[in-house]
Amino acid sequence: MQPEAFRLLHPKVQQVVLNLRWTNLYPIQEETIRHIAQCASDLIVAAPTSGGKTEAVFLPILSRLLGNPPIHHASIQVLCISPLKALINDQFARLTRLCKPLDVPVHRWHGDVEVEAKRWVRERPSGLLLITPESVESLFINYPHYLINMFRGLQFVVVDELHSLLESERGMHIRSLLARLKPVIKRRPICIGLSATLGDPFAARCFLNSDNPESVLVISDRSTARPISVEVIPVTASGNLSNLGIIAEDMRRIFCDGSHLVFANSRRIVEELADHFLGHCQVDAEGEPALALHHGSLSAQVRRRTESMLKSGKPTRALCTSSLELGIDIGAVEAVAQIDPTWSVASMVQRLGRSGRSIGATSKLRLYVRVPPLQEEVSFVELLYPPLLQAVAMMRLLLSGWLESVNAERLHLSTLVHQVLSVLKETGGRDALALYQTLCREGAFRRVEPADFKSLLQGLRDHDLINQDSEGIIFLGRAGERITSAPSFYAAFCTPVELTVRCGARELGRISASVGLKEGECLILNGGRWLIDQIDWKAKTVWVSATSRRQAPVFLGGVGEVDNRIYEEMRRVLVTAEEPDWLERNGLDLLRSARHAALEAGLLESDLVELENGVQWFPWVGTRTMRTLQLWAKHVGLSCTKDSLSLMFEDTSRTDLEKHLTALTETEIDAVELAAVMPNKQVERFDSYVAKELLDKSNAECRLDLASAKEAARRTLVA
Amino acid sequence: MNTGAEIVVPSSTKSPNITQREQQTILKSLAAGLVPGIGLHHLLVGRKLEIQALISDLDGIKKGAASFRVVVGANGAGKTFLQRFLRTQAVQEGFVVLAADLSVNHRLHATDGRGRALFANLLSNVFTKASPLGNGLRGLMETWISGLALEEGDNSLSPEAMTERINRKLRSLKDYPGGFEFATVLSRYYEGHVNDNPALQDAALRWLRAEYSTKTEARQDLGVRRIIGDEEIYPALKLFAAFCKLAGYAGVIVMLDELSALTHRLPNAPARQANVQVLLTIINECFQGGASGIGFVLAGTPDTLDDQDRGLFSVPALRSRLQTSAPPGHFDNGSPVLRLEPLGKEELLVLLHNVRRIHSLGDESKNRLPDEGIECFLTRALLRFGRTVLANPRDVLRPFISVLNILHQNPEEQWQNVVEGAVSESSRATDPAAAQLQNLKLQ
Repeated sequence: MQPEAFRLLHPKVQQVVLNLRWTNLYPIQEETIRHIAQCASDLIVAAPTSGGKTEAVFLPILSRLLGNPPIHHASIQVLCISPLKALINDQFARLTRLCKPLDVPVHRWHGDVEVEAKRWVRERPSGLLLITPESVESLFINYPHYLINMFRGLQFVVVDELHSLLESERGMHIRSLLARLKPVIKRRPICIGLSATLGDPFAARCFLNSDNPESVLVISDRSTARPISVEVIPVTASGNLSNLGIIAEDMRRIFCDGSHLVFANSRRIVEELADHFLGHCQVDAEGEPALALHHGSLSAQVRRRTESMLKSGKPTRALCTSSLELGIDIGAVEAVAQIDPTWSVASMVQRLGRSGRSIGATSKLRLYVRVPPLQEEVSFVELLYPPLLQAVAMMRLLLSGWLESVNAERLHLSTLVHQVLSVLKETGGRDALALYQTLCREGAFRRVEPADFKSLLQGLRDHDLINQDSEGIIFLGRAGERITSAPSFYAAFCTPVELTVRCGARELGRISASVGLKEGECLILNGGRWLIDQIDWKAKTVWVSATSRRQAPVFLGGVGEVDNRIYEEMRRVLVTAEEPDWLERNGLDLLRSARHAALEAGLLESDLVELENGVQWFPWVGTRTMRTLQLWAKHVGLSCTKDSLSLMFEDTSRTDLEKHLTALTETEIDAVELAAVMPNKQVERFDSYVAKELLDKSNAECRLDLASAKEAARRTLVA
Repeated sequence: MNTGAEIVVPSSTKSPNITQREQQTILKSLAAGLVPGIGLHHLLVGRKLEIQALISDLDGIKKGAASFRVVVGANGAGKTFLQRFLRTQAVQEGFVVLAADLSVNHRLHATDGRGRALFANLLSNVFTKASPLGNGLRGLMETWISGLALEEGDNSLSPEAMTERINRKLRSLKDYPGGFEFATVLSRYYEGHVNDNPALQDAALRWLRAEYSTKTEARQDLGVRRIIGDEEIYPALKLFAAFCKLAGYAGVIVMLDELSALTHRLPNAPARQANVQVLLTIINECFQGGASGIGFVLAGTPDTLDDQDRGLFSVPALRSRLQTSAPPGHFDNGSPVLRLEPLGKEELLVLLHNVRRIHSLGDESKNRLPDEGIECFLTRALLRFGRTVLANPRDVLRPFISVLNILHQNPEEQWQNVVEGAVSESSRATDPAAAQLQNLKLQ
């Protein structure tokens, strides 16, 4: 192997590559090696899962570590932050293989790593450290006096699964911790992000370098883009067959050989589907792929078993949630199934990318859409088959290459509260200006104004989270000390109380306490049916025994926000006559009937549909804009109800509504006023401590979209 | 030129000549808002009683007593200034001064290396007459060794015999808990000296600075079975004081600033209690004769004592020991708590006169700002802050020094204009964050 990039690697690293018996480097690897070997700017490597990103980044990093021996040997050289423990364990094994011949030590640090191993890293820091964001936080809180020694020679920071962090509290948490680390070690390491394919790389650039996002180079993988094959199958329950039962039957027919992943949007669907595979259709065919489950409620043991089954190459049918969306190496997957559309096209792309990894293979996605059967009293909206419409629209966008762009630059007040408490815990006390300096001006929360920071602090004082002495130094109050002393404090996001489910000595998994468990009832978990014998709230344990009774508890699924563009596309799907060849025949029938209904109701000409008892508005907007419109209606005193596509204004005439819409486009409305009447204001972990006005301001900015609400009204009026 | 002769200039500041080095250091420090490291007597204003009290402690310590004082005052009241002033006096009189700031990571008691960190800081900031700017540990050790050699008369003794003598000399240390190891490490240092083994000497210094975190390592390097642990900071200080006495010093003064770190910044109650317990032990021993040849001078804000929730006075045992019984307005020389009131206008005026004298290197004829100008400057500055007592003299000193600099550099400029400009300029808040947050008081 003699490509130019290969020659840029250190001879010892070249030898390692040869020993791996690689015959060539992927183009993305060549490009990344060239960049890291020669230059010092920040970098994002965007490629589908297992496109060789990890090696692309670490080969040249290791070359640089070997090439210029660092002045401070006794320091971590590369800090690699990963969102999942499983991912860290996976990478730990891969990187150890890579680094062992080079004598570069690799360490890991997360909740399950032994205390002794952590002490060793603290006292003899060196080489690579793989760590979760929460464990970095624990370093700041428990070992601030070790930070300088551990990281004084830090050269690289690698953030894994960057795309999954961009908008989230955890992402902001990482940014804040990295910003706080810089003044401690008095240097700025080169930051590298590993990401799935990005719609708009700007947010990712800001994530790595908010001072100068333009300087961040983005290396995107286009060459390894594989041919895609998609199918959309609508499923409706009929007779005594439930829709999941029909899906299970269909999968048995279609996915006969090889491994495949079945994604669902909630843990509950995963478990119910597993129940169908194991219980209902008992026709146990020979040579059927082994069934395995993977989601956040299952014990680590069960999840690891599923991962290793997939890795082994033995045909496996894995039912999972987004937990398998992230980049754990799981070997070759023949095809991917998805039950109901995801919240975003990006997530669908990510799941699709899990299949067809071998060279020359096709990425296959089979998207099942559960369409509720039409009842006797059917509403107009139901005639449009909203789930199907959404699936078709998202598939069209996916095939056109569109991805959602991310708004990472919101205020992140909940995470700021977390970080204020963290800095106070770390330092013992700071005055207000120093806190602002550390966290906002020099830190990650650049968008927070001094005046807002002031009200934030006052809000924390009101809750006794912080206190102030006569010299102006702010320190932790009683409640603040209590919160920061619990290990659960390390996370900037909500961790619901979970109970461990045990059958005898065996741990089956964890279940959210909020689902309302009762002794004597049943639950399904890990594909089995269990009778709840006893709930031990003190030990947070549910004791169960196997049963054959059937009754499913409700797992709480996450709620995502759907982009405006997807709804625009749904409208377009209704307007055009195009009949996509990836839509199953039955689906085409449903689509035709939806188009017919839309035409009959005049929905193709106007977004307003007049009904006997009022007027129905189809604004064709996503979650955030819809929420804004609902609040606006409440604000101007219109009573309305929302369904998946429209707002129904009862006892309102078309002219009345049009008057209101005109007013919406013309008058100045304060989004903060709308946010003030939101029913659920507290979304993130520490929102309950944020001063009311400040929380409204933040919600107005990141959970509402007044501009596009006005735009929707304007569009409707013009038509 | 000195026409406004009404100002009473303390006699101590009239006489001494200012060296150029002192002048440069003082002006640079003040302009940066810091307390200078040298030449403090040129600046000294008031604080006569407090200084007398502290100096009288030095005499006691020389005679084998111990002392404990807490200097309490708001930021800018001059706590650091007073500590530094005492430091220069103490090293002149043959004391060893150890100085460090307390903080979350530098505690009197800990379990995870943060007590040792305080001890390491103290022993890295060793001030002696020979090293008035700190970093004097090595010099102190050399003084001890050369003192030994002097005592023995000549170098004719064999190294073995010498070590034997040293051990005998250090025997008194072995009465203290942990004293055996302490003495062993000192003789290891001596061994390193006679055998020209700098590595051994470095290891001994590391041990003395409590930088060994495990006994295994200490045994490998030095052959001792103990280290100075997180929970033994005070006993180790007593040992060090005993050693300094042996080495011929007058005693040891331990200066700890930022006492509020222990009372208000340790983020959990058990840690605070453990540290306060050490303070109580120190106070008890200093007052009751359990300690000797050592003095503690701590500094903290009023909250450190008075805060109802966390102040030291909220601990009954401490309140009874520290609270003064002197009637208000009277100074009790024996009170362990010295409260510094902020400087008043008269005192500030004297301070500005002193600074002007420093700026002109004592040559009053070079003054370009008349006394009238000083008065005018101060009145305007105080007006801006809306009070007659300043929270922090640095707010006045910084613009004042730039007035002096501008007048010095521009001989044709009128002082009236410069004073006007300096005061109005400093009143313009340029930083919105500072404007919102600088003096934030949470309700």
